[in-house]
Amino acid sequence: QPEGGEAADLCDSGPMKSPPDGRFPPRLAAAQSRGGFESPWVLGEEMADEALFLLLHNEMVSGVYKSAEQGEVENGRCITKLENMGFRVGQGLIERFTKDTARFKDELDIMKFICKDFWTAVFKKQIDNLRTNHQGIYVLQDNKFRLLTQMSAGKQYLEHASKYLAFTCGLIRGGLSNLGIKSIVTAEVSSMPAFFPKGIGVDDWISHTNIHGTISSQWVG
Amino acid sequence: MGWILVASAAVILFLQNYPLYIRSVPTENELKFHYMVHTSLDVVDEKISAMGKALVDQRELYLGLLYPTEDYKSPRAKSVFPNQLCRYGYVTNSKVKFVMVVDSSNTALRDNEIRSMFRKLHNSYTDVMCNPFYNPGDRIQSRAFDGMVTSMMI
Repeated sequence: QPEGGEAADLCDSGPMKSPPDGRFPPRLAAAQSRGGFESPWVLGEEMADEALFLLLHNEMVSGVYKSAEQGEVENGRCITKLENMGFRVGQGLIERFTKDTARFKDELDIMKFICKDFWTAVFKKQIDNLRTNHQGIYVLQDNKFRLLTQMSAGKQYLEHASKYLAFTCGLIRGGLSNLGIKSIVTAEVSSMPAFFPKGIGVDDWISHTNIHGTISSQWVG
Repeated sequence: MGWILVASAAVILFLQNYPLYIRSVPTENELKFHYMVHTSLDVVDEKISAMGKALVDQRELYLGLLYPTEDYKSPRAKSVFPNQLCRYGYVTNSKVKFVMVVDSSNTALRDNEIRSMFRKLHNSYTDVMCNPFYNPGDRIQSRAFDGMVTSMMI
């Protein structure tokens, strides 16, 4: 537990400083020992707040699942709960981000905004690839999804990936809904940490038989 | 698509053509303001959907004066609105429409002042949106928002 002095340090509005005694906070140290973790202190101040969101998100997912075990949330509703959280957050976020931008011309303009500005603001990188069939289906591809990079670099833990994607799918759906687009967002992970959220216009949706079948089917009702 | 109207000042904030927030001074003529603003919603829709016509810069959020000013002097002895009223519109990217009605007898408000008032409204609306206790689509009951609007109205 940080002492009063250290906590005050971290709350300063100045740039983040390196930890006073050179040791990382316990969680970061544990993550670093698992390998593949880029220390926020080394890479500069910007990475620090990203680590906060990453860790908070992980705790959120495990928190929701723990409350499911204790019977507060029905089994199978966890992913919906996470997605709905993301939805509300997305609505607020998009209001803030589009406050000063010019009016969007059309749907494609909005999708480009999501891929560039929105994704950069949330995950500090842009979407790597955007594809569309010009009839309401957009496929966004992120080859190195920030929320999954710490998990594995191949097929390990693939079956658990869907829990960590629900919030982000909700984020996209909430953002689009506030911009006037009703959508269904599903995600696919073929190999960590690549992440393919797919947006579908409201009139048609495709049933996914991959690990994210659970996400799309919960939106039917 | 909410609408906010500020008039005489009155302010109404619209979402999908139903009001999210209504505030007017003086309050006794609120109903007349509502009708007036509802009709000006059509003008707002027309302005944002005018493709290719240079009625308004498509990229800007501020719509400017919606109508040529209307004169409400009625032939009857008591005229409710002795002065001319100007309506201004503003639509955010999230399709929330702000309509402001101002009494033009006031110190002639310049365009810049109206723009800055809309900016303040938009900033406050964004804060309301980010409030976890606010459900999008509800009437706005935030005291901070009320305070901001009060400070804007004369």
